[in-house]
Formats: sequence, structure tokens, C-alpha cells
Amino acid sequence: MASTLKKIILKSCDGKILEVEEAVAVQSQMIKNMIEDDCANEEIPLPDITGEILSMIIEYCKMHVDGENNSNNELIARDADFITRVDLNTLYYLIVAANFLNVKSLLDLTCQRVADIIKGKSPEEIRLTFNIKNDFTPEEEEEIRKKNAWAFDYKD
Amino acid sequence: MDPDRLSDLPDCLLHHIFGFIDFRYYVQAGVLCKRWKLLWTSLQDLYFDGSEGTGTVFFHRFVFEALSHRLRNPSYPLNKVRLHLKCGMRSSFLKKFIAYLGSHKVPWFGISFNQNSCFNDRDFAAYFSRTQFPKTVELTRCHMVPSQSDCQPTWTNLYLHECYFCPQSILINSFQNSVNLKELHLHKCRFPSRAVLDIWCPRLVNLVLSDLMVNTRDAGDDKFELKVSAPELLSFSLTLRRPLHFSLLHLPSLDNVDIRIHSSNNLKIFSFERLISMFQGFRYVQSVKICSETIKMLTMIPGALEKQSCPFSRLKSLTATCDGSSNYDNIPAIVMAYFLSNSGLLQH
Repeated sequence: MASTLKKIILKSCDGKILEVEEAVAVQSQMIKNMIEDDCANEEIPLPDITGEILSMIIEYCKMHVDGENNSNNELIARDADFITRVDLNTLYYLIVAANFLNVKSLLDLTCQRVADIIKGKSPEEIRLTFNIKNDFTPEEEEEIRKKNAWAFDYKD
Repeated sequence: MDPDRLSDLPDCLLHHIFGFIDFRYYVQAGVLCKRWKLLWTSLQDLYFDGSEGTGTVFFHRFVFEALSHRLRNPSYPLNKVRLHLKCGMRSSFLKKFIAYLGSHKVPWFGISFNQNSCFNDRDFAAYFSRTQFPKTVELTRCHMVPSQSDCQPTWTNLYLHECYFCPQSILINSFQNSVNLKELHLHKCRFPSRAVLDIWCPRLVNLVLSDLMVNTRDAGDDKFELKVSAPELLSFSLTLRRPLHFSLLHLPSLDNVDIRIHSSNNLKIFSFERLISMFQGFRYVQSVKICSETIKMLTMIPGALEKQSCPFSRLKSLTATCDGSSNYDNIPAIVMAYFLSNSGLLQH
């Protein structure tokens, strides 16, 4: 019937070992599949995820398991609190890791956060915010602007 | 200075990010640098947000320009197009939008409004009636005046979120023509107290009802009725704040149900009877998942469950899901007997 508190052992790329309850670990579809295929009995190495990022992801998954029966609004508030504490640099690593581990709600949360940062910004402001280097010549850029003029609302 | 890690993300993740905001940001991002120039031309799930900033005239023109530009890249056909609208939009725009996507065989449409009941064109559903596409429809905060044409016979998946059903008679027959519907989700939809929701879907495989709301002053006065007739239904998930009255359940192929019904402390007998009658409708199910709150409701009245005979003839598995603080590793023996006494599993 109900499973006992089985632990899953995860190893980050910088050698940190983390023990996680199965109920928390299966928030990751990738780990869930490994457990179902009986491949999760030994430690699972995660080549591209640092210990710091992995701890954050586990914190997030724990929050969702513990809060399963809280109201939706409460969970949204906790998600918001979690994500606003994350700086841009960490956010990229979280996106890549959430994608690799296939934690859908975290992938949505992190991508939504980046989208919210982009929203309302002009291309120049986006370049500044994310340090995107413009490798077009002014003529090339002007040509694209002309071609895509239908997407720019110059009145606002 | 931090390096530009955003541009380093793979296309699929950038696509995912830009699926959350109005499509114009992705097209505009084409001028950022070479990496970004053509990214927008392969985005397959488009989102148009008309509730934000831009003027209505610009927005309407932009939507059609963007669609026609995107459709010029046949290597990446459009998969899903979602439109988010503010109040006071013209129905002519929506009509044109639906016809346009339909004629270009876009399989998935989503339409949402930023406020409830701000668009109540009675013929709304009829806009869909002339095309074979979409197959999947997602409607959020739409005002439904139920009629037989709400669900088109060509649709296979329908997701309704926070829709308000406002029937002119008692019967809500929105699903009467849903002959090809395989999946139906009703989430946070609102119904009047004296209504009969008739879900008659010959091909339905998966049904999810969650947080349905019935307009009633107190729960005891709730005359809302649900009829579900779905001979091919395999999976039924039910998340409710209190038990509802299922006056008909015809589910002969049912494989699994997932029940999360929360208890109401003041209506013990009422809730108990509704649950028992619902379980009789699930008699062919093979696997039951039930939350601890619902189990509690079954055992709330001393001696009542003992008098009920087990309705299940094919049940093979019973799982209790624990929620919040209450841990339910041990299902009470009386509940086990109610569910499993016909199954032959109890001896173990």
C-alpha cells in the first residue's frame, strides 16, 4: 500500500550528495521514470547541476509536496516568494536544470519569471537587462526593423 | 559584467519563455542580435495578449499580420494559438480570428477573457461551426448560454476554466453534440443552483471535474444535478469542495477514479448519502484513489457505512492519498470492507 519513506540519492556535478525522500524526488518526471524502471537504487549523478542549484530545486519540490493540500492561492504566493529571491544568473541555471530534471511546474515558474522581466521592455532595454551584444551593423538592424515594422506599435 | 546566458539557452527553452507573453515581443527581439533574428519564425505555440498596453486597432492588425507571417514558414506549422482579450472587444474580430485559424488547420485554440462575463455573445460557439479545426479548444472566463452547439462534433479535447454557465432552462446541454470528444475538463466553472448538467459523450475517455461552483445560499439547498453518460470513459478525476448529486452515472468501461472530495461538517447525512450514491455509479471501476478527507466523510456517521453493501464488482486496487497533516497509511477496516469485499483482496 502506501510506500515507506524511501530515499533517493542525488549527486551534483561538484560532488555534493543529497538524500531526498521519494515523494519529493518524483516531482522530477525524469527521476520518477528512473524509479519506475528500477534504475534509482544507487546514487544518481547529475552532470550539469551544481549542488547549490540542486538544493534550490529540492527546496522547491519539498514546498510543493508539503503544500499539496494548501489552497491554490497559498501555493502561488509561495512560488512568487521563491522566484523573486532568485537573481538572473541563478535563474538560467534553474531553467536548464528544471528542464533536464523535467519538473514542469518549476520550468513554467522560471520561464514565466524571465517572460515577466521582458514584458513591457523595448529591444534596447532587453539588451541592457540581459547583456545581449548587438552584432548587427546599423544597416542590418534597420532592415530588420523595417521588415518587422508590423510588430512595433510606435505610438506607445 | 555577467555574460549573456539568455541567448545561450536552447531554442526550445526560449520558445517556452516567449510563450508566456504577447507574440510581438518575440518578433521585436529579432533585432537584438543574429542569434535572435529568426527565432520567432519557428515558435509553434503563439500567445496574443490584447489586455496589455497596445491599442485595439494595432492589436487586431498585429494578430493577423503575425499569423500570416508565421504561416509562411511551413517547416514549423502552428500547433496552438491562444488569445487573451480584454472586455469590450468586438465579436467581428473573434469571428474572423476563429475562421482564419480554422481554415489554416491550427489544431489547438485557446481563448480567454481578463474578466468574467465581459463577453457574452450568445452565438459565440457558432463561430466554430464551419470548420474541421480546431480539435482542441480551451476557453477561460467565458459566459456560456448553454446550447447544443457549444461543443462542436469535430472537437476531441475541451478545457473550460472559470466559465459561467447561464442556462435559459434547467438543462445544460452543452455537450450534446460532442460525439468525438475524448477529453473534457471543467475547472472552477460556475453553475446555477437549479440546473442539470448533462454530460453525454459517447467517445469520452478522460473526464476531469475540479472545483465546480454552484450558486446557492447554503449547501443543503443545492438542487444542482449531474448526469454523466460516457460508455468509453476510462479515467475520471473529481476534486470538489463538497459532494454533488449525480443523478445518472453510466460508466461501464471505467478503469480508474481519483476522488478528492472535501467534507462539510454540518451536513453529515446529506454528504454521506451523496457519496454512497456516487460510488454506486462507479461500480465497474478497477482502481480507486481516494483522499483522506473523503474517507473521513464515509466514516463520519457511526454504523452507517456498515449497512452499505459493496457496490464494486471489479475493483483491484484502492489507494488512499494523504493530504496536509493527516496521514492515511491505514485505511479504516470498515472502509476497506466497503470497497474491497467483492474483490477477494481482503484476505491478504
